[in-house]
Amino acid sequence: MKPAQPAEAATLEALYRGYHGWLLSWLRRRVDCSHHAADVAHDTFIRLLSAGPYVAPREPQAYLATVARRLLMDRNRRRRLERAYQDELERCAQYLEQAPSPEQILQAVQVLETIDRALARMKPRIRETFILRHLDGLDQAQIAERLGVSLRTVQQDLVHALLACDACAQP
Amino acid sequence: MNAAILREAAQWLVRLDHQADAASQQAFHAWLAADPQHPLAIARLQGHLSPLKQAPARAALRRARQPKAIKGLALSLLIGLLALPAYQYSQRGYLFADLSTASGQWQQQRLADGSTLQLDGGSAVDLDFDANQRRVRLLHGELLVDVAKDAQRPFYVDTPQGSIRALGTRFIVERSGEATVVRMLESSTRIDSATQQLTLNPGQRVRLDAQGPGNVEKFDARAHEAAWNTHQLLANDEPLADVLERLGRHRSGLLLFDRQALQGLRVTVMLPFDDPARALRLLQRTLPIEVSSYTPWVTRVSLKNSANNSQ
Repeated sequence: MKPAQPAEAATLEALYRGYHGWLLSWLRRRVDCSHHAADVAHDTFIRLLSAGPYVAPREPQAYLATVARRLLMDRNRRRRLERAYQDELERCAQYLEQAPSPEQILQAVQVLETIDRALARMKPRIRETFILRHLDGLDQAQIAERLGVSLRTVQQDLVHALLACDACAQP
Repeated sequence: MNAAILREAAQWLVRLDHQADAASQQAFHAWLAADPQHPLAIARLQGHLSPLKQAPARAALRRARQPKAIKGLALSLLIGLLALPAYQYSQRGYLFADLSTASGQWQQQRLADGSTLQLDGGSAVDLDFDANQRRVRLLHGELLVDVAKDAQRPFYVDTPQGSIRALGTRFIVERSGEATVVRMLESSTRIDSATQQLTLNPGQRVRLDAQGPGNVEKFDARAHEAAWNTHQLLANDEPLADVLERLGRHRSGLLLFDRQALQGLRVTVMLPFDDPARALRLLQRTLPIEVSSYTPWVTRVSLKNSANNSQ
C-alpha cells in the first residue's frame, strides 16, 4: 500500500495529493464501510487544515495515521454513546410523552460525548464526585459523606469538573 | 470568554446546587446583573450539562462508561423511571468490548496468530491471547472463527454456556438468549458445557444451555456459510424467536417479542440482514404474526389476535 517512492509533503496540498489515497486504504482496513473510511479521511485533512499553520511532518504516514486513529476513537466513542442513548430511550419509550427528534438525539449525544471525554481526563476523585452528583443524583452533603471528604472539597471538585466539561466543549 | 468569569459562574452554579436560599439567590442576581458576560457564562456552563436532565441520557452516559468508571458504586438509585418493562432486556456490556460491531455492520479481523474472526452485526468479543492459549470471549452476537493451526496454543471460544476448543478449524458460535449455538463448518472441535463434553463434526450444530449440550443436529454447512458471507439469515426449521433475535441484532431499534407466546412457531426462511424492515415484512406475510411500531425505535412482534387474544 505504500507509494513507490515517498511523496513530498511540504504543503498541506502536497500532503493531500501524495497521501490521501494511502490514508484511505489504511482506513479501509480498519473500518468496515468504505463510506466511513472516506469520511474519516476527509475529517483527517479538515482537522489538519483547522489545526493552524501547517508544519511538514517528517513521517507523513505515521502523522496521518495518528490523527486518523484519534478520529476513529472519537467516532467509536460517539457510536457507543449513541447506541446506549437510543437503547435507553427505547427502554422508557412508553413513559415518554414524545419521542425526541433525530436532531435532538444528535445534539444530546454530542453533549454527552463532551462530558464523556471530560470525564476520561478528570482525576478519579473529581470524576467520582461528578458521577455521584450528576448521574446518581446524590446531593453534595451525601457525596462528602460517601467519599469521606469535606463539603468544600466536593464543591471545589464540582467546579473543576464543570470547567473541564467547558474545556472539552471548545473545538 | 474570560476564564475568571467562567470560574465564578461555575462556583455560583455549584453553590446554588447546594443551597438556594433567598440570600444566595439575591446575591446571585446581583452578580448576574453586574456584567453582561455573567449570564452568558452561566448559560454556557448549564448547556454542558443540559442532557443530564433526562434520565435516558444519564443512564446512557453511565452505561457507556460502566465497565471501568463506576464499578461498585450505587447504580440502583436511578432505576425509578426506568423500572423495567416486561420485555427481556440484555445488558449491553459489550459497548466496551475489544472488538464490536454496531447493528447492521460486519467486521472481519485478522489476528496476530493468523486466525480470522468475522463478527456479525451487533456482536462483540474480548480477546485474551498469551503464550499458552488463545481465548476469545463472545459477549454478544455471532462470530465466525477461522482458526490458524498452532499446536502449542489451543484456541477457545468461551460463552457462559460453554467453552469450544479448537486447534485449526472453522466454525460459527452464536449467543442466543440464554443459550449458545455452535455450528461446525470444517474439521472438528471439542466442547465443554456444564461438565459434559462432546465432539462436534462438520455439518453438525448443537445448542448449549445451562443444562449443557442439547441434541446434535445436522445442518447444511455450505449453504449456511454462503448465507453468512452474503449477509443473509438462513433458518432451517428453527424457532421464530431465535430468528427474531438474530434479526434484532441487525436493527438499531429494539425488537420486542414474547418468546413464550411465539413458542410453537418454527420457520424455514432466507432473509436479508441488510434490510431488516423487509425481512420483518416477509415474515409477517407468511406467519400468523403482527408487527407493530411504536416509535422509530420500538417494534413489537406478537401473535395475531385471532391466534391468541392475550398480547
